[in-house]
Amino acid sequence: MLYLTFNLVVEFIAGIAFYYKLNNIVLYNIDILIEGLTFCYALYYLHRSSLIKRLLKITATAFILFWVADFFFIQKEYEFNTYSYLLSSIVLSGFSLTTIYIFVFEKTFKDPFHNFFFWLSIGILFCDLGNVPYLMFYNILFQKAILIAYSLTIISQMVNTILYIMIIIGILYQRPQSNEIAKPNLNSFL
Amino acid sequence: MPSSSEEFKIAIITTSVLMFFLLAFILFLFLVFQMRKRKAQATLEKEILAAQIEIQEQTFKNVSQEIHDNVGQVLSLARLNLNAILGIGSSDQASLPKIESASELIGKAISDLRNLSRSMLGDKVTETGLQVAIENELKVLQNTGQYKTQLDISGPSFRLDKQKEMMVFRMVQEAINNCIKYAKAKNILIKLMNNEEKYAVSVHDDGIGFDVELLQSKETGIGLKNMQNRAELIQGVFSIKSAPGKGTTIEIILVK
Repeated sequence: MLYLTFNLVVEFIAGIAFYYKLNNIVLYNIDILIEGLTFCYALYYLHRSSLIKRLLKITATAFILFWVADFFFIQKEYEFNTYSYLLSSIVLSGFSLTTIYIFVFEKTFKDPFHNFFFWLSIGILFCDLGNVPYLMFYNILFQKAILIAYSLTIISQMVNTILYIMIIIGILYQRPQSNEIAKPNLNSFL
Repeated sequence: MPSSSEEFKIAIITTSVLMFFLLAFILFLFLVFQMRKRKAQATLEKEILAAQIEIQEQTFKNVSQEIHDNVGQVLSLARLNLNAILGIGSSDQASLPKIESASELIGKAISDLRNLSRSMLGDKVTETGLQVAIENELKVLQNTGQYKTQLDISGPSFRLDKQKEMMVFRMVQEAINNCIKYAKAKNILIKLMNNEEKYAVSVHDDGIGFDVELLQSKETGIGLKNMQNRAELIQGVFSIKSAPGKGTTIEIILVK
């Protein structure tokens, strides 16, 4: 429950900061890094392909370096780091799509619909794909086309909700799989 | 900033569209997964069937060799000994007819065993060819005196590859066994056809026939279902036509 607890704490503190009219963007920027690395690790844990594992390691390393550059030098800590978030969204979308493909088309997993990571991958895919347009046009649209910006904000909020719904469905529907190559220790992961 | 009613509309539309796409995506994945699962199951069943058939053929071969090497030899020796006793002559004249009768019975047993061994030995089929193998089967059946058999050949004689010939021969044997066991037939006709498009082998009897829809039942028609599966293994088409009182025709078609 670690990840969900962390998110809850972040939202709680951000809410308090917002109430007291303090800048909570720093917290969200740090959350971008934690969320990106958490999902990279989850997919790294799941996959047995050495190629995918290597790609995930490279991606995570590159992401950390980019985030540091964005946080300290490019957009900096008090502006929402859309570049980092966009990068992690695009990359995680690709990996989650690959994961879903392996679940459905490969023989590795017997019963994907009772596998927590299958539902997590769907959640990540929807969340990250849904966030991409919001992140890409965030700065421009809020200045020029407020209605579209607002629509994209709604989409972003909804796809984040979908991510949590998928996590809950994954927890509820998962079963111990006899031929599941990766047996996740769910409690320690979350 | 948009008004609250616009906000509400946007929120509803966005939520609906997103949920629709999500559900459609999950449904798509589910359908694809089910389709692949069914295909994998069908492939596995075919592989199991192929393995079973191979084991069966090996068993037939072993039994055939045992019959030839051991049982047949023992019976031949027994007959030789009996003939030797007949040759020497005996003071007990009453036992001579019994010894002659025993010798004849052993001779018949040897002949039957030879036929059985030949019928079981798959290599014989591939050596002599399908046509000769079927002719031999029909000859054995004719010799029982209970059936009239006929082999019709249309088109030039043909050879198939070993596996196909073996499979077709076993299906013909199964069909003939079904005629003997169930059909109460008097006449059995086998047709071999070879034209430009296909090879076809059909087995027809004038027996009591049956309702083909009974094949759907799990408890009946397993032998015929096995024949269907064997035909599919060699990319053949298996069909069966029958009706109560109208005999039965089984046909195996191999498209060229």
